[in-house]
Formats: sequence, C-alpha cells, structure tokens
Amino acid sequence: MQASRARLFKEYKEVQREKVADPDIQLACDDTNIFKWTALIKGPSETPYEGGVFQLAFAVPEQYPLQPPQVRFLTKIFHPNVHFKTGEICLDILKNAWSPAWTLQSVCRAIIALMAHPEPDSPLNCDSGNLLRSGDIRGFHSMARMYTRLAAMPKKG
Amino acid sequence: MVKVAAVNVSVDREEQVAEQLDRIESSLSSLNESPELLCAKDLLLRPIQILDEHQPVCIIDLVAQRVASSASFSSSSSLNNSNFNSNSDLFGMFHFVAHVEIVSVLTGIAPQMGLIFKRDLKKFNAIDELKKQAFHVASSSSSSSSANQEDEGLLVGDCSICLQDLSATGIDLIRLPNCSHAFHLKCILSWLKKSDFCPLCRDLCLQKS
Repeated sequence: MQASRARLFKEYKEVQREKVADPDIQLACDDTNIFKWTALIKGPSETPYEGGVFQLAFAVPEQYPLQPPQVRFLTKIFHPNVHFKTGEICLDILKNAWSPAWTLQSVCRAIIALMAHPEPDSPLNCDSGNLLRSGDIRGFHSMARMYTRLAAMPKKG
Repeated sequence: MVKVAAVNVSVDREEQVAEQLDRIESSLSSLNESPELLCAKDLLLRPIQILDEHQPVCIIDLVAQRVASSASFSSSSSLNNSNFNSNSDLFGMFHFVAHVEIVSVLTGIAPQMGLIFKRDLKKFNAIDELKKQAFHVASSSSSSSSANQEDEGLLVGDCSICLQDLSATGIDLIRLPNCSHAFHLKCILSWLKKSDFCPLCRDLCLQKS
C-alpha cells in the first residue's frame, strides 16, 4: 500500500479512537476519498470566536506526510492570518516549517492556537491585521465577533 | 582553492553521447591516479535517487541515456601538502559537488521538465554514515544483551513519520545521532531527501554537534 494511504488509514483509526478525548475537534474523512478530510473545530474560549464552530477542508497530497496537507477554512472567519474570501491559512507549519511528525489532528490543534493568537505581522486579511496593528483591539473583536455570529453559529429561531 | 578535477558533459546530439562518455571515463581514470580522490569517483558511479518512486541511477547512466542535458562534477581542495593535518576532518579540506540538469526526459524518469538536481557529498556521506547505524529488533523473545535491552527500552511507540510500530521485528530502524529520536530507516531517509531536520525536534540531524 502507498505510504500516504497507510499513514492516513492509521490516522483515521486514531481519530476514531480519540473522538472523545478532544471535544474541540471533530475530524472526518470523505467516504470515498481518504485524501479529502473535513474538520469541525470549536472557537477557543476568551476569543471572539468562542461559541462558533468552524469547518476546515483538508486536501492531502500524495507525498504526505513528507508534504503538508492543504488546509482552508470553509466557514467565513475574520482573522488576520486567514484569507477572507478563500479561507487560505497563513501558518508556518503548513508551509516551510512542516514536519512529518504533525498529524491532521495536531494541525487542527495548531489552527485553534492560531485563532487564539493571531499574527498581525503576516496578514492575509489586511483589514483585520491593520485593526490589530493599530491597537484597535475593540474594533477587531467586534468585527471578528460579528462574523462568528453570522457564519459560525447556528441560526436561532 | 585548487581545482583538482572536473567533468563537464552536455548532451545535445546523439553522435556526441559516445564522445562524452569517453570524456567522463577518462576523467574517472585520472581520478584513479590520486588516491585521495577515489571517493570522488565513487560519487559519479554511485547510484543516486533523483525522484521518488524511481530506481536509483548513476550520473554516468543518465548521460548515456541522454536524460541529462549536462552533468558536471567538480571537486576543489584547499589542501596544501605543507599544512596537511591528519587529524582534521576530511570535509574541512575537500568539498565535492555533483550537479545534474535534466532537461529532456525519457521513459523511466518522471515527466518533470527542467528539474535540477544538486547534492553535496557531505550530505551523501552523512546519510551513508546514518545507514550504517541502522539496526533492527531481531526477535521479541531474545533480549539477552544489556545493549539490546537499552535499545528496546527506548523503542516504545510509533515511528512518527508512518505512525507504524517501531518495535516490529525485522524492519531497519535508526536513531539520529544528536537527538536520539528513533525512526524507521526508510521513513527517515525519504524525509532527509527533503530536509536536514529531525521531524520531532528540528535538530540539524546530519551535522555532528
């Protein structure tokens, strides 16, 4: 069996086993394609994303785990390191700092950590980055909160 | 820096191939005359893996198959007989570079145009050195020597590259020299083709600390 397939299958089994262990992450594999995954992650507490559930799409390359998976947000999110339109994520471990020791699960954890600790100095979303860089924390929070409510929370009534 | 030997080949036309092979071979025989450069000859003849999932090939074969548009090899040396110091590291004195450019692609090599392959002998040798340290768990029942037991004690868990069990019998394992992190040999070799870092701690694992 192809190395990437074997490894993803192993991760799949691991995810099934650990489902209860990490309530913030729900990873699921496409029924027909083991190279396509989706994840639901909970917005970290004490951030404007709290209470929201964000969907991620993983496209795993054939060379995995020697190459990082491509991850993007399917749920709209206002965050300096996430492209507002495409959902592309600017995170070093998904680019040049990738290591095969990362798993899809731990990538999710890294993305949750990125949500809690934005890096306004390498922005993909300039509006969001500028708010933070100019010190307008309140403005950033209310924008991020608004989009969390609009896009990441179940509609009421 | 004194240039000791150089081989330069460019293959454009069919009739030139034989001539270029002759040139390489004569360069190789000139390398034979200087014993300290024997390892350089080794580099030209040693099979190298250029792309994943393909059989390793020699530079000289690439030229023969007209896969490489140019293959060059150079070794330069800052060594002077007067200040020869037998204790110093060989790599402090010599620096070898092998360089193959693949432009026209024949069957057997993946269709990637313009791929440039460069590799330092230093990394070559470091990886070779690493391969020599490979070991495997012979059998789970025989844990007679204390060294074996120590090895097995540290081998609990999975290879972090393929996530398969490390202690499976008969599979070559490796422990990286500086950080002692253990992996399957084939897994770490495929990673080290892309990177010089240990996957677990980002230690520069091919350099002696």
